[in-house]
Amino acid sequence: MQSEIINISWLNVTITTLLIIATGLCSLYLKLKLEKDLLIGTIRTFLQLLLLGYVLNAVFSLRNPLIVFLLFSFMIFFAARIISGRVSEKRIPYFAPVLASMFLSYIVINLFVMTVIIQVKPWYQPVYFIPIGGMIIGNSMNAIAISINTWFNGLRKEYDRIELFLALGASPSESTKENFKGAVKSGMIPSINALMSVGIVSIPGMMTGQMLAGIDPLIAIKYQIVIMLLLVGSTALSSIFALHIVRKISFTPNYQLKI
Amino acid sequence: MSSSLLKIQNISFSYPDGKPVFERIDLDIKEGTLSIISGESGTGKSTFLKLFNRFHDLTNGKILFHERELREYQISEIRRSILYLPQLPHMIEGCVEDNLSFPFTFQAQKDKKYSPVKAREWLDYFQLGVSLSHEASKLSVGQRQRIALIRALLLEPEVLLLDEPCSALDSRNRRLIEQKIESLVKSGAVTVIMATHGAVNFSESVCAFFQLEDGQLKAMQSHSGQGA
Repeated sequence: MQSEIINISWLNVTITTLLIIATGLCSLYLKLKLEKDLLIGTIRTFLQLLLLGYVLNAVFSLRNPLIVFLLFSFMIFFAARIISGRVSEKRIPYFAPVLASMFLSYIVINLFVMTVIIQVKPWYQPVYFIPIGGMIIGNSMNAIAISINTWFNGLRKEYDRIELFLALGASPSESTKENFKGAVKSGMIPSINALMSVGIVSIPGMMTGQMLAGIDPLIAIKYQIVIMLLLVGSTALSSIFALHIVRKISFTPNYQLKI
Repeated sequence: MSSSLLKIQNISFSYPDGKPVFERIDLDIKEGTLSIISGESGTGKSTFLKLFNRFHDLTNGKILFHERELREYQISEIRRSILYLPQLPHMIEGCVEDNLSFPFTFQAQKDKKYSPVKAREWLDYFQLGVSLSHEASKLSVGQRQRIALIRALLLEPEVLLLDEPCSALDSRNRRLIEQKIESLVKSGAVTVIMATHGAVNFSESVCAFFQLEDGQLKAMQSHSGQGA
């Protein structure tokens, strides 16, 4: 089943803003004060996606590995910025180590998918590398943010217990074994829940997109299965890696808690 | 004459914000002695104790342990030899035995062996009235404080840093602990540095008393407490 794709006209895209106008009217009526955010959000959606469209168009047509790599790095950098906005820790400078760990794990995972699973040739073909890389980054970014937040909250909440363990001879990893496990688990839960509910509660975005583009649902399903498993793996790998580094920098070399 | 175990030479310590806590303190702690550090709340008694197990790093000066600078030791060596017992008696989930035995699982303590027989002896001595299988969450604060002390004693450190170890105890139990500490010190089993702001009852023959005030440590003849 390969149907012709329907190209939505810009006029029809603009008509969708009627829904936003209706939402704005509701906001005015209910005094929600969301009108300004709605307006800015809508304009940003148009501008950001238009820009993305042009950038992707250029990157897809250039097929230059350096440009693909730069765009991918840019995406990772912004994901790390978003994480640092969500984690309130100020005393421990975790941004650079977390960025480095994200960078390493995403590159390894994306290369694995490109060369072993999908077997794209050349491996950096942007039409595969960038969207799949984006999905990996977007999902595990949330997991890393949740894990790091849980980690730092745990250190503060259990300061006395951790200090006692250190005083009794424990190393940082011995004194925070449970904190570490809890932090990894809390980041993993959303992706594991997604594994449970996929296809029953929702049709995933990637599959929907492929089907709208006329791809056979059975092919789309294979992609979706790969993506779902990949997201769980990449989430686990990147958050464990990032947490390892964060744990290391949460203590001094003399096993003193920095918080 | 016992030999010098800890030599404190001209030490100063300030918090990271620059606020000085101690300035130019000298002290010589002999093996098998009991040093009582008293002072009002907030004078830095806990901070002073934490300099010895390197929870805090000195701003100036040095501490020698067995004539060797503390900084030259591996941190795990220090923590297994110099044990700090915090004032808050934290209990982990599980029974009394879990709470007494868990430190023996740490890499730094791996060559020591947990002995349930010794643990029972300590429980009996401190008249806790609980068995090793008693649920730790059901212990009173006073019982927890004594369990925490037993936990430290079972590890048999060379130096025990006690931070208000009797703060939650009645006078009878306080006396029991003081007698045990005194006898352990007299036998040479351990050297104790104890911070307190309350009255203590040790014989002056084994005890050296110090007052921590305005960042200075002053030797005193005896100790009668600071109004517990």
